[in-house]
Amino acid sequence: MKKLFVLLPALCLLAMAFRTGDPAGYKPGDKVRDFKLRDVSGEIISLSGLKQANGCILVFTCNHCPFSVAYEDRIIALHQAYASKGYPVIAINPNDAATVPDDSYELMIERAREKKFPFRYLHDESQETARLYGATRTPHLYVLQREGADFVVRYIGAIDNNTEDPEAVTAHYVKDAVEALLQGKQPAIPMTKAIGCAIKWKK
Amino acid sequence: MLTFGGMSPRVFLLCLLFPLYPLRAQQVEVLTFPELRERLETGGDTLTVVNFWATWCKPCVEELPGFLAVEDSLRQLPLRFLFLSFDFLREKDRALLDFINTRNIRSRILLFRSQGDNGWMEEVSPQWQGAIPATWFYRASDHLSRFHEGALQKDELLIRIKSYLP
Repeated sequence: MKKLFVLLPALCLLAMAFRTGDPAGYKPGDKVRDFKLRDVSGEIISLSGLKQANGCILVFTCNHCPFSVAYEDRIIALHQAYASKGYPVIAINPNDAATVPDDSYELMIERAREKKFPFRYLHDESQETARLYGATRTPHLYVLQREGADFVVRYIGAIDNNTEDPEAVTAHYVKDAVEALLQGKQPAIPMTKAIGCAIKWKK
Repeated sequence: MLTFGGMSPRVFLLCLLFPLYPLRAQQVEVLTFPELRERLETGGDTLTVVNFWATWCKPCVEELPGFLAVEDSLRQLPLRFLFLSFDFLREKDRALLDFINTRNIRSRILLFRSQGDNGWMEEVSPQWQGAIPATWFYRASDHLSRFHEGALQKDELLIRIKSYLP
């Protein structure tokens, strides 16, 4: 009987860890677990390594998805605007390269070089980070704010409200969220949803 | 009377307009979310199957033949299919039209124009996490609304449709 008390909850936790596209990922207000992921430069990057940062703009993105590609320049612009203010962009590719050869680590290196990415572009090879965060599509953004030794989620969702036409954007969700945090306030809109390419989970 | 190379003004005007007709037939219809809503609400007893897809979405393109086959096999039932593509507006005449023409698809394929309004996804389903393909089953007469995020194999699609039909 005693064994069951230990075994059953453990099995439940294990089962939860393997759910795909689980909406029970992080929500605004959650403290995040750190990661150790390989950057296109070869370096291993983690949140605890961001010594100077007030937070960061985490974006799950990839090489091939047209929606991600449409946002690349805007993601670069976010880094250029906010890295110096303590909110650097960190891009993470969560896709399984076996399913999408275009999203391999080698092609990440090439893309970063082609577009001169000024931010870290990390490879979530085990897809553990994407699962933990509850990321479901690319691009999918998480604005994190540092609180002491922790990083807390403050915004989740889309970058803005027009994928196709940057000129027609009327709501800059991530920019507004970061500006609010810089002013010591909470984002007025903590969550949004948008269409993206489904994350390609390992089979 | 004024003539254009022997033609009357009316005939000349008709000749000017003539080249536009084939162009019009070639265009892909664009639909906004409010327009989609209206079509669904005026559907009465017809079950509408709205498939959200894009030419660049591999799993979407893979499930499409199954949907087209089901559509073909159930034509006598109170059922209609709308294939709404998230291809970019500027690509609609190339990528989307090419796709339709090379595969000789006769089904209702429209380009979905959802930009600028992020509340629409909640109206389709609060559970939708934003990935495509996704399929929405809707019937106005009894407000039936069911949603599936992810690919649907032909057999599963058939089972679902049959369960929603009277």
